Amino acid sequence: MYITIARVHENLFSGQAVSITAPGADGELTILSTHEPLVVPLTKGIITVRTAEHGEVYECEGGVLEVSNNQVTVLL
Amino acid sequence: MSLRDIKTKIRSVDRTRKVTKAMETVSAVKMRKAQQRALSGRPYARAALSILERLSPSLVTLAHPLTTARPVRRAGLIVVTSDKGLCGVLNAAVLKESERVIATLGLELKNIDLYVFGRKAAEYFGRRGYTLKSKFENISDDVSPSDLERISRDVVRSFEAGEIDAVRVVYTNFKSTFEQEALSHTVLPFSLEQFRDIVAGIVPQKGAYAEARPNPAPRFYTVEPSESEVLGTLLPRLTTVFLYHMLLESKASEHSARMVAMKNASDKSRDLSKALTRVFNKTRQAVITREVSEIVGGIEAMAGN
Repeated sequence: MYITIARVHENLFSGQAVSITAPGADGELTILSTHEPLVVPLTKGIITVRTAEHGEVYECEGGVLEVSNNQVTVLL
Repeated sequence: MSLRDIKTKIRSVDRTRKVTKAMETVSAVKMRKAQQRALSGRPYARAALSILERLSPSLVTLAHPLTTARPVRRAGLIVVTSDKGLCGVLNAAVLKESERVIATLGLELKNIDLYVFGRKAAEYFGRRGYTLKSKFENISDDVSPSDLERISRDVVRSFEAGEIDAVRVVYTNFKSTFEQEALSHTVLPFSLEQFRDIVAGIVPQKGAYAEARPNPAPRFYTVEPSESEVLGTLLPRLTTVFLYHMLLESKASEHSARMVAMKNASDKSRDLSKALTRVFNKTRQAVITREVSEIVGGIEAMAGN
């Protein structure tokens, strides 16, 4: 699963990962590989990306998460 | 002109050339950096656009406050110029275009809220009695994310609250090192076509940075909790992308315009210094000839005695 996390002026993360956990508007959600296509607004919280080797944590003030064709795009 | 005057003049022209030459080099470096930065905002813009396109092929079906046009009683205008001059017609072109936009809006001065980036625009509109809602210095080469956030949040909030009915921007579009043009766009009410144009502008048609990676839209899409809520989060972000891009373009244009202007100045001063040297040599020759003929005349006069 390919994940991209971007802010307007910088790219925070882009690469392969196992899962991503994000604070969705209706509660926290975790996306695994081959998730169905989805668009969700995000609220304030913490985004955790787990790659095969390690985990990475990003702060989130709000944004949009999109899943399609096994690609996850997070716009903060 | 005496010999010494010419010499002083040549020296001063040479000194000017040193300065313009240095400014040219500095601008060339800054221009390259600005172009690089313009590319860094690209993935975000493209991702935002594709989400929006997949949500709805046309925004017509989506009734969101930010996409709804209404009669314009009060408008916001964002103008981007540079802080410093010495960059050719760059700022004059932007200010002229702003005047044109203001004229087409057909509103009174007090019904236009101006957001200005750069001291040149602030001075220009300040002198003409406009309300400057906020002004930012445009001096650093980096676009400050906090200024960007602030202005974007402010225009979106004012638009939603109905305080302003349209938001226009005037900035300089970077076409190439030798070609920049002052452009105006409508940011709000938001339209998909407008945004598509801008993203197309970010991605070059060909060359090292050109790429097209279409991600086919899935047949179904789960949208949680609702389309309007997703749009509510997405559209203000797109506005920010829009403004960010506009600032970067203006930066790149400013530096390349300055580079070209300084190159012209350096060339001109080289020509001038050459012409002056010629005048200097001619004058010196004349002086020598006169002195020699005076001496010869003197000797002859003495020999005659």
